[in-house]
Amino acid sequence: MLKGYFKVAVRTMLRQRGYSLINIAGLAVGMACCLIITGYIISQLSYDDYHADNDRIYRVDQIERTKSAVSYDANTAPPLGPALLEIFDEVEYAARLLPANRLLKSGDHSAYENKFYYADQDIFNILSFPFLYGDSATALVRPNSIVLTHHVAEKFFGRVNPIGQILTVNDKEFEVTGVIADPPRNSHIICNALASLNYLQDSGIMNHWLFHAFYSYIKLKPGVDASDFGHRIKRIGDKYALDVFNEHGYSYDFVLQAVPDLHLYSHPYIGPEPSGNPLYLYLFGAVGLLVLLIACLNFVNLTTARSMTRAHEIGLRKVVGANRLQLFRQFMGESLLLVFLAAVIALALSEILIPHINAVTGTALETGDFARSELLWVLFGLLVLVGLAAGVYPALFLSRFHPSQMLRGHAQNPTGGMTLRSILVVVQFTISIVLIIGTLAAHRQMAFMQDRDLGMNMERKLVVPVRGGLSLRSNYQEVKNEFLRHPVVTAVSASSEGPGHDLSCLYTKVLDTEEGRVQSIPYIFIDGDYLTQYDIAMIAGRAYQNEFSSDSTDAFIINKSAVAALGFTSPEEALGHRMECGYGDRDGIIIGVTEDFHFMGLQEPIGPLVLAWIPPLLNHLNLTLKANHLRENLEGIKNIWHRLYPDHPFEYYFHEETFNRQYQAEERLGRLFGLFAFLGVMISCLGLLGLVSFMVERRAREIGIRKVLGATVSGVVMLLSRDFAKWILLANLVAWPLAYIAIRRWLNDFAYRINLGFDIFILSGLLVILVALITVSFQSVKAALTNPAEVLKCE
Amino acid sequence: MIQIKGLKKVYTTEEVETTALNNVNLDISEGEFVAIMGPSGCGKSTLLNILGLLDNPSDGEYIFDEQDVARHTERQRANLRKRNIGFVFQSFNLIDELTIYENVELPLLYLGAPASERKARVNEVLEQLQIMPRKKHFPQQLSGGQQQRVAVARAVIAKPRLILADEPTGNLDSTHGDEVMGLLTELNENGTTIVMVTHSTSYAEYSRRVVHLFDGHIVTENIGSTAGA
Repeated sequence: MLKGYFKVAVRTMLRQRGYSLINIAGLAVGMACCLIITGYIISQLSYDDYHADNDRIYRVDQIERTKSAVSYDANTAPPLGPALLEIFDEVEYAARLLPANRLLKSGDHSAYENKFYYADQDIFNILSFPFLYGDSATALVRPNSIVLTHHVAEKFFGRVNPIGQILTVNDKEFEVTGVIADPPRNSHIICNALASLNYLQDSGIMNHWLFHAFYSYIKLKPGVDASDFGHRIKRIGDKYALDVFNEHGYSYDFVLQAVPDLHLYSHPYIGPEPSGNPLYLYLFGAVGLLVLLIACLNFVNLTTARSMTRAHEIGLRKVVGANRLQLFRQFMGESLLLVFLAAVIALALSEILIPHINAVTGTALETGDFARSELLWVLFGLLVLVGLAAGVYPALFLSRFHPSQMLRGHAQNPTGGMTLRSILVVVQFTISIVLIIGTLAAHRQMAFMQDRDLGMNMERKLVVPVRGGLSLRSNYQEVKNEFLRHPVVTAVSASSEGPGHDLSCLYTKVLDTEEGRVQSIPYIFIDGDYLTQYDIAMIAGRAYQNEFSSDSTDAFIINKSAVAALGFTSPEEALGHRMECGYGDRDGIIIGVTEDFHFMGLQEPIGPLVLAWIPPLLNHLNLTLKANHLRENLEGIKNIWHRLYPDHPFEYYFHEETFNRQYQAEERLGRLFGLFAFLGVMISCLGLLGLVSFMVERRAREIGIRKVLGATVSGVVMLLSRDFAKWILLANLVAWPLAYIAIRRWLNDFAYRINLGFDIFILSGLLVILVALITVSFQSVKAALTNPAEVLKCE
Repeated sequence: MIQIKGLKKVYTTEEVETTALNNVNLDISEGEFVAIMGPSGCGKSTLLNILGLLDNPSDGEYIFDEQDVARHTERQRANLRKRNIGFVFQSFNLIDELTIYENVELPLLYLGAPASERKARVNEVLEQLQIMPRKKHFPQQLSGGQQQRVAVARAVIAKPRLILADEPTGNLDSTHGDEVMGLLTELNENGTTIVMVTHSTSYAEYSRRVVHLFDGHIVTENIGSTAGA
């Protein structure tokens, strides 16, 4: 019996090749989308799940409060970890990581490593770094020891065991004492090199409670209640440094962050690696489900539509003795077979698509991911669910009729079936339209952010970091002149890492007002040429000038937003006041106020900023290049660099590109939405095509009679298209408010955003109507052109 | 075998009520060959559907094999049907997706007959009806006459006691029509009860009894036509 069902299923499938193809293809694409997204979600959720005892390991973050501001930070002071270990019996291990960027060198080979950390030995007892060579219990005990990941070790020492080899770190020699496996992609922190923190023991910073640069990790003993423990460590800093905090007007709360939660649920933008956004995870999940839903609706819709044409067969089967259960099983079997085929194709499709998806969206999915058991379960679940959904309706509906009715062709129930189908089509197109509107809005917001006048000019700025033990302190003028000699370089300045990058926030205090306002404010360190080079406008006072030597020793320039933040009523009022930054590191007079400019992406409103000229902190060269041949001239600039610094690799980036990288998440979202919108529309149209051909077939006689009675071709096309157009208009009406609400919410994340014009909605609507009508016309025109005699003689 | 008393069948659509059969009384004994005749729309097919348990009467009594089946549920009717009744239609009604062999086998499948028995029985019937060489073909590849043979083979495969034939010769030329009538007569001679709807007086003469229907009523019954006997 089973074999019989199978045979009929295969034959039916082959006989209705077109429908089967549409059906299976649509479903396969939908399933593939869903699989890929599930893979992505699983990879996001699996962050840091490879650490042993990951229910007991935490990073300790801090919340810094001043009178006027609160800021959240993952970087904490060096004494925090040891203090926690000393006071609390609950802490099994505590260890710190200090991020740095160092020039590594061995023999002729040198390279910057920006995932370089100074680390406590006990980090290996907290985070899981499997050792390939060396002893994990002692690797970082000696001050000049360093542990490398497998690929870094291989880069410098080849495929041999490098233990005992010497690696130069910014001119200081370190001995390789361990090699660890390359960390998995799904880590909140990627350490390529770990040097012993004991190396810095005497540097004078290790007891500083206001030096916030370390990541502090702890492992609790088994059975410790983390939330209770979290409460108890909240004010731990006060025990050691309350007077220092008070003196500067700060207070600190410490909070535990479970390591497995760091990727998705820690405060964004503060960790060592880009964090994930759970909102986007939900969004992608929802979009994936929607596309799958479209595909499933299609499948159900087409299958049930086709099954109507089989009423006759079902009638016959009943006449010769089939009962409802037997028919039910037959339909289920057929539907499951189709779904199974689709699933196999979906699996293959996702494997093929992953590299492309990664390229478009910047995700890092791997093809092997789909062999994971979770995903196969997801696939299996989908298979059964869709198969049942598509099989149940015809199985229940068609097996109910009296065979005599079915043989007479009375079981078709055209109106009832069509209502259900119309609803399904409306739902499909609603989803597609929402996705299209979302795509357009995301693209428009992106274009808006990239085209907006930032209040500064980053065009044609080549930035060259000066690091790896180098400094511009002694020879800046010489370096500058060297570069200026190159014909394409029109201007040179020096600064710290500028707009678009993480800026260091410094404690800032106005010294000579009664209020004595204290603020933690981001700083960019610049020289006397920077403001002119970047076209930053002054609204009060003056810019730094090379002629005034005091500008680089006791002067400050602030932006317009900082005026109010520091308690002044107007830019002019701020001029001449004294302020200090750091903890007495520098004090000076405010000599100028700039117009506000976007030093961070347009997600954030412009905040206060200080531009200070502090020569020792200048570690980037900014070169303005002539308009043409930006990339071609790099060779010449590189040669100049190597003449100046023969031992250091040349690194560079274009400022505008790195600035726009802040919009990566949004850009990905836009691309992904675009992709899914395309797929959604495609699948919906496939469904429409199937449905229309089905409808045309059913109405062939009616069309024939109409033509005999004098209907024109265009009249018939209109007749057939009208219904579909009606549904899609309805879909628009449903989709618009939904899309509007969703996009408003998304745009709320941006401090500077587009006005959501009505044109996006109209455009999306028209687009979908056009595509749908073209789809419908394939079949309707054909039907309208058919010779009515052919149709009618069959009757 | 069949007793019908005061049978009525009314079709109701949204606006009109059509009485297809009204106060029909009919007895058919085991082994009879009955022809039902009448103009189009007189209720012949409706009567046949009710006799074949494909449809329920709106009113009246239908005793089949000493059971009152007029109010049977679909499931009960299906059960009775598959064991006792075979159908032959004007338009053959073979399933296009199944081969000749599979079409004939279908009733046995639904009866749950074991594979070996099915095979033996299908081959036997195919042999008997001389369609063995065609058993792997699909219905579309056969002529009308051959398709109707297959339909007859399917109708008799489960050895039903009653065969209902709805204009079995309607789509056939006279040679093939005669052939099918010959088959039915042969079945009847072997004890199968046959009820046949037909337009053709000459084919009606194969039966022993002709029932004339007009506007849902039985108007005359001629007993004893003997062409087949």
